[in-house]
Amino acid sequence: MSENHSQPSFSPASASTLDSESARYFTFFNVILALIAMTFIELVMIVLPFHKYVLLAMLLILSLIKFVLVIWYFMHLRWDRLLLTALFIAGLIIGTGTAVALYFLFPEGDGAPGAEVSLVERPTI
Amino acid sequence: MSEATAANLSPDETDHHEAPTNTGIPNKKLAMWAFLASDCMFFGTLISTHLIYRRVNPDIVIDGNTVPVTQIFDIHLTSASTFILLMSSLTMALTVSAMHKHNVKAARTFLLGTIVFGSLFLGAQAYEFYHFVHHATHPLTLTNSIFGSTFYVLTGTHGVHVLIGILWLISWYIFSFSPKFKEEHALDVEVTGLYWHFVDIVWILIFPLVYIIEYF
Repeated sequence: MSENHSQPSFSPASASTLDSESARYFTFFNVILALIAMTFIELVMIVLPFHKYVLLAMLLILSLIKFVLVIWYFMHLRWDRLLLTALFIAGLIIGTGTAVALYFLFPEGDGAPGAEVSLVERPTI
Repeated sequence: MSEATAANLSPDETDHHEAPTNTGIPNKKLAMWAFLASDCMFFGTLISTHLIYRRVNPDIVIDGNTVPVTQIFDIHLTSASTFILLMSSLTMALTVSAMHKHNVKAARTFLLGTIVFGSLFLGAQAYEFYHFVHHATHPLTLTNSIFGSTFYVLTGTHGVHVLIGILWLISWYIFSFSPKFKEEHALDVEVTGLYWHFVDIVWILIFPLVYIIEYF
């Protein structure tokens, strides 16, 4: 009896919960296998003889797929209400949009050896 | 709750005994998703700052010498770290699943697994930083190059997020032995899980955009 008082006691979960969670259990393993496979492909891409921009595009697509798999399955967005997806996507769009806009706002450096260009000292247009 | 009303709710919602809200979403979960959305913007600025400086300064200059970053990075160690963090996401998902099934023992085991994987990732990052700073020929510090500044701020901020997550998980692990640990806490553990998975997805972006891209 004393052991029951010192340990948390949970009532048995409903049959529907057990069924849905058991189904998710196998989904989680499939997702992690896909994530590991895609990470392996990203590493193999280092030695692939393709053009830099092709590899970059592949890298971004793989990262995007991995990102979506985690938020959709591990973070339960697939089973949660649409409002949560909309809320997160809104933040994601603002964050990504700002990052992409800033990236293309600044010109590519000339790569002069031994020179680090400061953004502050750069002449404004 | 009537049978008809209960039938319309998902198993998660019927088991959590949360007070009803206008959105139908527990407030804690909604607050965490709002925080994660704002954290997207936070990491967005850090990642874009790193990429912009890499674009403007294609050469990494340390103490007057141009250094190929691939001579500093250890892609094998970083790949192993990535694998470890992905595995921690799996164990975290299984923890939440076990909590929904009211299986405390399994939840505790998976929680411990997540803590171990998270700690291994953090240990690998500390090891990586130490070797970058004490590199024999090209030491990379926070202040000796622009690349060092943006790299350490970005990956260090992520590391701090991981550390906070580990401390949060440890507190759950200890609390899970308390008789005060109830079924209602399944939602709280799920919210912790959301944070942990977010830390994982941020690394999913950092790994290719900061590390792998340097090898093309």
